[in-house]
This record gives sequence, structure tokens and C-alpha cells, in this order.
Amino acid sequence: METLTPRSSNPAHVGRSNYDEEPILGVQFDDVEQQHESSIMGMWLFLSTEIMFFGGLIGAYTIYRFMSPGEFALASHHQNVPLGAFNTVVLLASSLTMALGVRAAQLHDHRAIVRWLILTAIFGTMFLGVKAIEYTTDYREHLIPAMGFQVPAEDLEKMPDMNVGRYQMYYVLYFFMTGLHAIHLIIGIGLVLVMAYLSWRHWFSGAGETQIDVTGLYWHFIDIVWVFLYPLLYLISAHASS
Amino acid sequence: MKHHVMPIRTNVEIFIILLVLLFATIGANFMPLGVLHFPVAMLFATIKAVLIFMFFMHLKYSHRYNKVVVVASFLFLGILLVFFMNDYVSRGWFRGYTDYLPVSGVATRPTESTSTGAHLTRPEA
Repeated sequence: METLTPRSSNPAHVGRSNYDEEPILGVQFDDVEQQHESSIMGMWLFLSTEIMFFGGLIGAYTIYRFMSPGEFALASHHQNVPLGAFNTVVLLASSLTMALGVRAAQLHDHRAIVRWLILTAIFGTMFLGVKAIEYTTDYREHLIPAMGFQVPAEDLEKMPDMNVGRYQMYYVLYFFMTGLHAIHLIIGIGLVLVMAYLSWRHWFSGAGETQIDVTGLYWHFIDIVWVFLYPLLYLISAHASS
Repeated sequence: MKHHVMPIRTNVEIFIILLVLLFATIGANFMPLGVLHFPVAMLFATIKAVLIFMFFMHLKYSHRYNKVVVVASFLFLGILLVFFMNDYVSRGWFRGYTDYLPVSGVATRPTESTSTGAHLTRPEA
């Protein structure tokens, strides 16, 4: 049972922090390497359930876009492509800072950890801010389903025989997909800030390498989801046939 | 713990490649690619996702069982999407299936419309 005793209570380490040392080993693990690998694999397994979670929405999107390509192309042209591109750049940049944060954790550089993690949270918040601007525009243009949704008159002129329900379905899927993505991002920002605070307080053992690595996996996954959502929702070609 | 530490330079290079691919995706949107438009957009997105998985998420240097988890989840997502499309694309191909539904507990025989091939056209109703 001696492995359960934190090293800082070991007489040889009294008065010293165990932040920079090997991680405290849980009694159920053979060694710190196995402990690290189990956490990483646990996160990958969670992410595989997330792939199915978003996969259900992407499946619904695939079916409705297949059944009504014209309506989807028209509806998607109200999205702000440059603003979406800007948001993609912001999220890719946040992935870069997160990767550098994980790198700093591997090197036990705690000032760099805090710096990169806070930068990551700032980029994430920027993304949410731009998303809020886009949602506001949609609200003004009556494009939010169940909140006074109206098919714009110019689209009805372009396609008089359109299925109005399918046109609205694009926006139902748009708000569900980007909304679910935004909820994940809010959770991610919270996680990153908690990790930054705990690193600043030297709360971890082993510089929190495992914990920050796992947080990073979650963050990069949110980025990957957006990499697919952007072309699916914003970039239905101007040349798409109806 | 000794883990593979990626140099800052590699991280930045991956980021730049991701940006280039993003602008390639946007550029392809305004090209007259016709039916190829959607596959091209998805191809670029997949390359970006693979780069993030491999380098930012360290999957390249990760244990083999993590790779199995990722490949398996996308395989099952693929099965989901393929069977969705299998269902929706083939609707209306076999109108005759209602002819086999039990009426008062007895399965009825195929009607004339199924044997003449009239079932291959859509019902008027």
C-alpha cells in the first residue's frame, strides 16, 4: 500500500513539492507509464463515442442533403463564408497552442504550460464570440427554426417549387450541429482553464503531463469536428446543381 | 516518463499545412467542379483531420491500440452512413413489399403488379 502515499509526505521530501517529480502512482497500476497509457486510451475510447454522437447528426444531414440538394444549396448561401473561414483559422490556431501546451507539460515547463493553455482558452472564446455574431445575424434574418422562421423571398423566387420544410431542415441541422459543437467548446474552455489554474498552483505531480495530454486530445477532437462542419454547412458550392 | 516530444518547428509546420488546406477547400468551393465538388471538399477535410490526429494528437507516436480505437470508430461511422444511404437511395425500388404483409393473419401472394414489373414505377398516390 506504500504506493498510495503521496511522495510529499515521505520524510525525504518534506517541504518539497512533488510537482516536478514522477507522477504519484495509483495502486492499480504497474508503473507510471502504464498509468499514463490507460488515461490516454480512456480518452480515445470516449472520443470514439463522440464520433458516433456527431456521426448521428452527420447521418441525418447526409440523408436530407441527398433528398433535397437544391434547398440545401440555397439555404447555405446565407452563411457568411469569410467569417466561417476566420473561425476555422482561430480554431486551428487554438489547436496549435494546445499542442504547444502539451509539449510544455512533457518538458515540465510550468510557466509555458500556463501561457499556452490561457492562449488556447482565449482562441476558444474568440470562436464562440464570432459564432454569437453569426447567430445574431440569423435571428435578424428570421433564419432560426421555431423562432419566427421565414424562407427569404429571393430564395422562393429562385426556386418556386421548393420544399419549404427541407429548406428549414438545413437550419435545424445547422443549429443542432454548430450548437452541439459550441457546447463541447464551452466544456473544453472550462477544462483548459482549470488545467491552467492547477498548473499555476503546482497542484499536479509529474507536471500534470497526463492530465494536460488528455485535455489536449479532447480539444483537438473539437477542432476535427469543426474541420468537417465547415465545408458541410458553409461550402455547399455555388455551382451545385439543384 | 519518456514520451516523444515534437519540436515547435514541426507543430508550426503542421499548422501552416492545415491553413493551406483550409484555403484550398474554400478555393475549390468556387471552382466549377460539378459533382466532384462534394468529394473534393470531404477529401481536404479528411486530410486535415488525419494531420491533426497524427501530429497534434500524437497518434503517430501513440500505442497501436489507440490507432485501433480511432480506425474502428470511423469504420463504424462509415457503416452507419452506408446503410443510411442504402436505405434511402433504394426506397421505391421494390414497391411490392406491402403485398406480402399479412392480412387477417395470412400472408398474401404477390399481386399482378409485382409480377408484371409495374411495381418498378412509383405509385401515383
